[in-house]
Amino acid sequence: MAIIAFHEITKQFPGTSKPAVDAVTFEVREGSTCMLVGTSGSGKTTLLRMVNRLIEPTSGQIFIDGKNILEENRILLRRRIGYVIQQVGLFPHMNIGENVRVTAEIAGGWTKERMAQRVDELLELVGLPPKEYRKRFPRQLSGGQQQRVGLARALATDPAILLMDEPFGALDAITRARMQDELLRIQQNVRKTILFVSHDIEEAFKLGDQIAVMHDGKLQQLGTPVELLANPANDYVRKLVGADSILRQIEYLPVTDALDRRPEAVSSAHWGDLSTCSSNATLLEAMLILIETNAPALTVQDKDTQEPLGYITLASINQEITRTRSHETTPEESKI
Amino acid sequence: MHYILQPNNYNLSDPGSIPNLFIAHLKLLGIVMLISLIIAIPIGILVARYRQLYFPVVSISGLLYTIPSLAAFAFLIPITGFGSSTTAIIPLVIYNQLVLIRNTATGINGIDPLLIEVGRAMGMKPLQILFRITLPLALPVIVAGVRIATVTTVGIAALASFIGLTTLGDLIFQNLAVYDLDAIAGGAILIAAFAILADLLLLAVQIGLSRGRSALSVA
Amino acid sequence: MQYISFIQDPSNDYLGETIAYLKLCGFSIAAAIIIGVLLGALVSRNAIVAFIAVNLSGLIRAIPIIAIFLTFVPTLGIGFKPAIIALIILGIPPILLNTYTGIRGVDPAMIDAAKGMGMTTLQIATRIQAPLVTPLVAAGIRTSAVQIIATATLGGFIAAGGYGDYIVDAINVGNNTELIVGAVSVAILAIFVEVFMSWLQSALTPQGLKVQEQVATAKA
Repeated sequence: MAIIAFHEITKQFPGTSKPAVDAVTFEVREGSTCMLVGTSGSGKTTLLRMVNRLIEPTSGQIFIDGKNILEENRILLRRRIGYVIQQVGLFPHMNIGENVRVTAEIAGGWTKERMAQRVDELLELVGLPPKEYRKRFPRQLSGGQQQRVGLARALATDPAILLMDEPFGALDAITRARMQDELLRIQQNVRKTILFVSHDIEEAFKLGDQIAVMHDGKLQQLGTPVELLANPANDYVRKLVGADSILRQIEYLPVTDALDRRPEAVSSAHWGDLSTCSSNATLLEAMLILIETNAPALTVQDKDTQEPLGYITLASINQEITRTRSHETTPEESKI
Repeated sequence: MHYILQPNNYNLSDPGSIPNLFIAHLKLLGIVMLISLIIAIPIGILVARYRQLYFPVVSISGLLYTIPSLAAFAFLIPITGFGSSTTAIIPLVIYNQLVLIRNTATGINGIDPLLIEVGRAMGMKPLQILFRITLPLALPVIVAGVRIATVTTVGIAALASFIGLTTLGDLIFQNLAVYDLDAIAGGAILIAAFAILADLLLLAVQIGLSRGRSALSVA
Repeated sequence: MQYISFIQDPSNDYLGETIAYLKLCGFSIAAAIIIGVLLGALVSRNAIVAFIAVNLSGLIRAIPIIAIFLTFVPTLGIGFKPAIIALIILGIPPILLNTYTGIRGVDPAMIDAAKGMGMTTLQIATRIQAPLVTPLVAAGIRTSAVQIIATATLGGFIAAGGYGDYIVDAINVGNNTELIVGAVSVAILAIFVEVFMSWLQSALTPQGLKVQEQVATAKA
């Protein structure tokens, strides 16, 4: 478990007029996934690479669990951070098992048996049966399989932090979606603090607990996907997250925002046979149930207690969307 | 052919017999290759890292390589003496530098920088990067250089017989005056066979070291 | 100095030996270029022939050079003739290999594009293939020339004339003056040719190919 905290972190490369990363301050919560999004040249990769000190900041500090990493031994720091990149970078002269094991070998303190066991464990975790894959070489694997190994390698020493730089960027759409699902599943088990660079806003919404929007080296906004959608800090964020898109809104905004708590919202004649939906559903999911069942309303139940919280109707959804959209026209008031 | 097939040319008690000449030749080859590698590989690593050194180093070793072997032996005879193995070893080692340095540097420079960075991100120390990534990846190209150097050395080492060393070249040079064509041809065949065999053996090593990659990509 | 007086001594015929050496090398290089380029071009038309030629060229490297010199003595006697034939045989492989590699290396898409542009076969050969192949052929000629100059000293063993005669004779009789004169002369000539040929090679290489070409020779 680990918290990553950036404090006024700035990086200016020699011979450039503008800093690549400009006084960025924010925190990544323990065990959460923080997506760094922005166009190329926004400084997101530079920011990521300063965490394992492949790039040294010009000024500012980075803390991991309150410890300033710039005062730490660089080599030892890197050994406790997992790193996954788009090009994967598996060592072509090592087989899959050796590629996963090398991280543990470098870090030291692992017995041979423990390492062998760990390799199998991890290959299993990323969905590559060890018996079949351990002895293969990287070039015998597809792009998606290679990235699975890349992920297993990064997890080998069970680091608390995972840095991922567009890991699925080079994969085809179907493989990418599958890998994203896999990452979500794995993260459920391992609960790493993940800093994930992406230029794909769809991916950011899908994977991120939090999204940090970077532009021109500056942090534009940090928030949950819904926060970004409901209250974009500025035009750049609004455009990037597609806050103007009704589709995006109903896709991500939660039903709880559109609850109609008035008992008279539904006539008593229908009380018995209303369909229900969980409180963690999105507006889209609620709408689909409404259309499918042809019912005038849904009962929204608390996802844990199953207590009814209120009703949701097409009218209440419409109202919520209208509210969000009118809200957006005056974003200055809603800055986070 | 008669010469190679005659059993009395394999009499181990005769220092001039084929097995003994072969062992002497092999010894000279071994010493030369060992010294060559000890010098060339660190230089190759150095010029791969400091690229501004590559051109001067390769140019100088290229110029030294052009000096005819007979001339090089001739330079050294007044200094190190006729019949001294040093007279043969020095030029042979110098000749090998060009191909060994060049292949070491080429092998290292051909490595995807990404892999080095992955190693760094993993927390490898510079020496760990060298021994776990750089050298294993460059090794097939280095061995390709060793193959060329070995074949060259086997051939030129035969010439060392003329300056008083014992090698398979004795079969040629000691029979030159009497013009025993049978013995001369025997020597030539044995030396060529030696070179080809060494080349094939090292090719096998090279393919073995290319594990995980296409052997052709480094041939 | 004893070296100067050796050179000036008419009985040593330094000028004559120099001309003999240059003749020996010049003839062999010229012949090796003509034969090597022609064979290389011919061989590139057939994959099986190419395979045989490439491996045969590699095999020649393994045979001790002195043996090649001696091979032709029984039929041609000693002297200039067997030496020149041996040198031509030695000089062909690098040129043949590089010509072949150069021709095979021309991207078929480029030829296709040229055809699409409406170029004639002759135009393709002179405007596309030749400029692309020339640098590699030049590199082969350079290797071959330097090798011939170095190897021609071995002509001394069969009295082919030139600096080799000095060196072989000097080692046989133990004359260090003669030894050094022969060695220095041939070393200077070899280095001069190497420098000249590397200049020629770079002059023949189109600007856009220079970077690529460096990589190609570095792997050779």
